[in-house]
Amino acid sequence: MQIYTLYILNKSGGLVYHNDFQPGLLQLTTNESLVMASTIHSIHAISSKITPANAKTNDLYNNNKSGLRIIETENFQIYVYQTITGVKFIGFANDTNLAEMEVWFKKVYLCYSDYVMKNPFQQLDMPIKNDNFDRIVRQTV
Amino acid sequence: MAIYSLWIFDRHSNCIYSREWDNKSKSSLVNVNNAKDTAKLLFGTIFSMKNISQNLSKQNKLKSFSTLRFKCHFKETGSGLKFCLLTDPELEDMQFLLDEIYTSCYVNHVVKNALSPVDFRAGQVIGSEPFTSDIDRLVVTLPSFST
Repeated sequence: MQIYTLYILNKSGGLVYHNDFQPGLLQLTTNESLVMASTIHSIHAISSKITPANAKTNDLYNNNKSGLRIIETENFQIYVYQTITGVKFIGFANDTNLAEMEVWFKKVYLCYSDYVMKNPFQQLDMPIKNDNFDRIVRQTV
Repeated sequence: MAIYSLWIFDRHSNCIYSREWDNKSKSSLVNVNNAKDTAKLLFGTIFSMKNISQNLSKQNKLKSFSTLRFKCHFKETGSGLKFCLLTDPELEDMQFLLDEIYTSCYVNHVVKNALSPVDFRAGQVIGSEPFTSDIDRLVVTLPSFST
C-alpha cells in the first residue's frame, strides 16, 4: 500500500490540512491544491445526483451513503472518506483497496479527534497547523 | 449486480447516445435523456475527474469512479469520444465491454456508415436501430446483467 497524499476538507469543502507522505504524484502549488480539494468536494455532491433511478440501496453502515467514494485512474486511486459531521478525508494512493483504506482513514480520524479536535486553540473549520498531528499521521502510513 | 445505462459523448461534449436498461419501463429507453440534467452532470463529473487525474500524473487515464450505489466505467478514444457505463458498484473492471462496444458496435454502425455524420451537430444523436440491438446483444448476454 502506497499513500501519496492526505487532504482533510471541512464541511464546506475548504482544504484545512494537506500532507504529502511520499513522492509519486506531480507537485501542486498551494493554490492548485485548494482548487483540487474544492473540485473533489463538488463532484462528491454531484455524483449522488447521477445515481440511476433503479440502483439498489445499500444498507451498509456508512456515512458516505450516496457520494463519491473512489476515483480509479491508471496510475493511482483517490479514496474519499466522510465522517458524520461532514468532514472529508481524501487519500491519494496506489496498490491498495477500499477495505485497507477505510481502516487507514479510521486511524487518521482517530488522530484527528485526539490531536485536532481536543486542541483548545484549534478553531473549527480553520487550517490545521499542528506538529504533533503531522507526526502522528505520518506514523500511520 | 446489474448494468444500468450506457452514455456516449462526442468530442464537442454533446451526448450522442444513451441507453438505459430498466425492467420496469415498457418502452425502450434509447436517447431519452440526452438533453436532460443527468447527461450534463455525468459529463461534468467525468470532465473534472479527467482534469484531476491529468494534473497529478502525466499520461494518466481515468478508468472509473464509484459511490456506494453505482459505479461509472469510463473510456475515451483517441478521437475524443467518451463512453460511460453505469453499473452496480460490485462489478469488476468493465473496460473490455467498453472496448467491445467501441470496436464492434460504434465502428461498424457509425464509422463505417456513410449516412452517419462524421461530426455530430448539437442535438444530433445516433438513431440507428441495429446499433442499439448490437449493444443490447453484447450487454444483456453478460452474466453480470440481471436487472
